[in-house]
Amino acid sequence: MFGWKSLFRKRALDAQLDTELRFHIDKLTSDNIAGGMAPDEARRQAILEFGGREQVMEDLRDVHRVSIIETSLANLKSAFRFIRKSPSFSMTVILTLALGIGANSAVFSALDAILLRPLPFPDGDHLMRLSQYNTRVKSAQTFVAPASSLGTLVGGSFGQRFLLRVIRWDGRALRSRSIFAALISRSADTRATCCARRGKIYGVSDCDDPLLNWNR
Amino acid sequence: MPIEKSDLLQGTLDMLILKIVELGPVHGYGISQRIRQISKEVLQVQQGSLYPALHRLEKRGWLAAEWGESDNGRQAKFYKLSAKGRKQLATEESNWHRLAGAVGHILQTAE
Repeated sequence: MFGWKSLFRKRALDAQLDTELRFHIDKLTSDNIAGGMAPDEARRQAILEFGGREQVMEDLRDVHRVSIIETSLANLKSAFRFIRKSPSFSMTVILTLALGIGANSAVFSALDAILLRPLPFPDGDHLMRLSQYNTRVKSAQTFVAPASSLGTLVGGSFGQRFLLRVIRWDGRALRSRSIFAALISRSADTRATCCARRGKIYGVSDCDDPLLNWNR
Repeated sequence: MPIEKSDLLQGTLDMLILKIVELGPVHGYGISQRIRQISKEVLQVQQGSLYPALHRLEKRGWLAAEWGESDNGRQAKFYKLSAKGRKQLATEESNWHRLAGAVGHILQTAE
């Protein structure tokens, strides 16, 4: 009880201590006046006799500060006693808290990484993810490979049509759409120019071969 | 000629405070005055140790404190002995007598 009082009503406590000590000094003063001193001298003597008032205040605050530690220790002790007394309930509480905190921090760190922290390169919102589907195979298979190796993956022939799934961030939401695309060699310049009329060439800087959108 | 002031033995101050307060509710100033008067000016309690001691004793539940009006009409904090404090005082008094007796015996034998 004392601990809470001094924690939340530090000012009130200080005022109380101050009133108590001031009363003492005033009594000393009036005693000195009764003993025949002039009021000013009486007060000066009283303050002298009382000694360092701030020091006393600090000592008194210490007395009350210690009680905060003691109450915390007592609370801790009773907490451990409670945990020992009903282990199953305590385990439930601890697990619930652990899972709750764990899930929350996991979700937050994901959101933090995706939404709050900007990507470490310019124009992060123009980033696209391309996944490649081979339309010849019945079950859509995803190839994760640089576009340069697509030629081999889809059967070695350039110009082969395949399905591209493009996921991009338009500033508000992730948009995904599927497009047919073909891989053409950079050397096949004439063909690229010719086909580009029907679609759009995606130049991938770290790939040798540009991707061509087939039927957009 | 001023009488030589004696230092209080460690731990005796608590007992003296409890004993003074046993006589009835009294404020800090009153306690320091009474200790001085009753000891015939031999013992003088420094305010720097009196007030922390009072608050410590209150915290331990040996003293109960409440604010009231003093004889000059000012608000003052009055301390009185609690049941727990009365028990503590009895223990400390008997300890003190035993100790004083033992010291006395040694001094007599040594003479």
